[in-house]
Amino acid sequence: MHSPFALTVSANLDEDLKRLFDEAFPNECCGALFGSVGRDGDWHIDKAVGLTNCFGGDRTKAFAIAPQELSQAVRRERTYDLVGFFHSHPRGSHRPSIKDIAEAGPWPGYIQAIIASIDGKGPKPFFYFATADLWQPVPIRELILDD
Amino acid sequence: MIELSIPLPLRRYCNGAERVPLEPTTVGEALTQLIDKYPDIEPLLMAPDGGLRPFVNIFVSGEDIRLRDGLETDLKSTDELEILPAIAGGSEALERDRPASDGVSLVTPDECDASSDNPVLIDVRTDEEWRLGYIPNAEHIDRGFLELRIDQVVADKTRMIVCYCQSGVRSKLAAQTLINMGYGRTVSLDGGIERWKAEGRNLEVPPRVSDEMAARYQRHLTIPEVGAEGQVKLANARVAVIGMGGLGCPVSTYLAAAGVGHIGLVDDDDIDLSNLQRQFLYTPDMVGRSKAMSAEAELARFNPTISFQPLKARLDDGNIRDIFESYDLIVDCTDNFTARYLINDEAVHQGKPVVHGAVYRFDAQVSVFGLDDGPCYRCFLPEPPPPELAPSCADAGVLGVLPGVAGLLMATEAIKVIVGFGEALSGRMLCYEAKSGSVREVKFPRDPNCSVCSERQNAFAADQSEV
Ligand SMILES: [Zn+2]
Ligand SMILES: [Zn+2]
Repeated sequence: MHSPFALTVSANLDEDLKRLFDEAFPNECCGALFGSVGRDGDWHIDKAVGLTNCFGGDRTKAFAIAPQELSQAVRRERTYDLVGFFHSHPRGSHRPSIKDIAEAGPWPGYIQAIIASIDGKGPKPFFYFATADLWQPVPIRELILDD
Repeated sequence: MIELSIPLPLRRYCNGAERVPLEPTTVGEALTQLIDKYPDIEPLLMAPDGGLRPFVNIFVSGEDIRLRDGLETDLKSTDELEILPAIAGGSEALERDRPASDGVSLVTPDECDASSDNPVLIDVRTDEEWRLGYIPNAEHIDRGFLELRIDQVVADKTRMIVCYCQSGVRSKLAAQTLINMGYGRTVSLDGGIERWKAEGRNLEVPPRVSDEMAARYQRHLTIPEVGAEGQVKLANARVAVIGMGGLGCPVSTYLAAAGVGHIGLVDDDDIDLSNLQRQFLYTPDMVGRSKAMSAEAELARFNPTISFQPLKARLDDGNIRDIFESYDLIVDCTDNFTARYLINDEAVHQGKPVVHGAVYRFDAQVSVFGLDDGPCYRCFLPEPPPPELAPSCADAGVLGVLPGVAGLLMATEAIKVIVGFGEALSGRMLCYEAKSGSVREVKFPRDPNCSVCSERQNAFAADQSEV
């Protein structure tokens, strides 16, 4: 048995991602996730940094992260590690598209978050661990103290 | 010297390094030096034509080298060099850059059986599929976690690996991934587990828990370290709780709640009014009745699925051997040195671990003895202290909650030993001091001259039995 990948996120991450979804709407937002990976393999996301969607065509259906901005963000957030990326599906599902998976394929091993509004309940982030050919949903581990 | 920052997913190819110091004069030289040091990283950064792969961006002090002179870009010793991914996506389907898996060799179930390479079988299906049955001796790594977990399962990159899935499609892609990661001798099982089954071969099924068990122990099942496998181990475990007083009450209660399947409750005493200050299984109307029998009646009420063996008896040389033979783990909840040595010596003799706990006024201590190659109680304390230094609980008194603290730690250790997770308190004594509210740990080794558990003692015993 192998313990599943454990992911925790900082308290305000959800709110920040929702805000980025709203600010970019109807375009896709995108950006980087900063945090750390512990020695025990537990991942933690401390913050999301929104970056310019520089896709050359219809930005309501696609995104590309501005490379220069990513480099600047990595240098600015140097106390953290770049642990992954996010983008939104303003009108789409919370699942990765074939293009999402294909484009991330050369970089397996990052967290990928998709912010989507499903069932009209407002935007919400969904976290995946990206491999070369699929994105594995990752539940956010919560500490349940008692019930 | 220039430091090159390695992005998280590539660090596994560089011994985990976040930064690699290099002595280049151009970006191209930096990459050459990096690849010289860590050859496995080459296919991830460089295209076959010697240029950078698309999707790989390199920055010199924050500037994209594509906006400068590419791989020819000059470096100053103050420059910082960074590899970063190019990330894009979109909701429109795009079928390029799908990983090719045409280079993966296939093996048939027959070839897999006959292989003299002792291959590791890796099941890359989901948890749900795995639970319905898997190829005997296979390791399970969900495809989604393959990159993350493979080095924990297969450390040797030259080992032969056979990946399989349900029908053989996913495992081919998974095998390609492993080959790209440097596991060059990875193949895929042709036809997957379906062909394996169709050819009349056996499958193994992981231990299953009933629906009721799944509901009752849901909080255990979701902990990966316990899970269904651990819960089944608990259900099959046989634990003797010796002494049903202040320690025995919490120990037996939590072992029963946790689902330990067979619990012996051994105590000769009857309930006394002075016990109720800490022995919470007993009520005033039970005063004068047997502790073992009364505890069994109470415990059976809240977990009827467990088999309890109450025994109103005092352990002695005559009965201890038979009693211990029915159990795999002993929890020593007694309150005197005579009993502790008796328990220790017989447990060592039968090769069974003992979870130990003791309380004195405001202090509690817990340890595990005789676990694997760990020390025994006599290694820790070869002889009982003189009686004036070791007053009994009745003479010295004890804060009523202290046996609860120690008992819960003991139950925790018992469950750890049964399920096999974490590090048991073997060779370590955990000491809790209620007055200061502090915890400290005393380490002690196995005594090579121990009169009970040493090799010499074993050799001596063996010689005797030869006569
Ligand atoms: Zn997408
Ligand atoms: Zn010993």
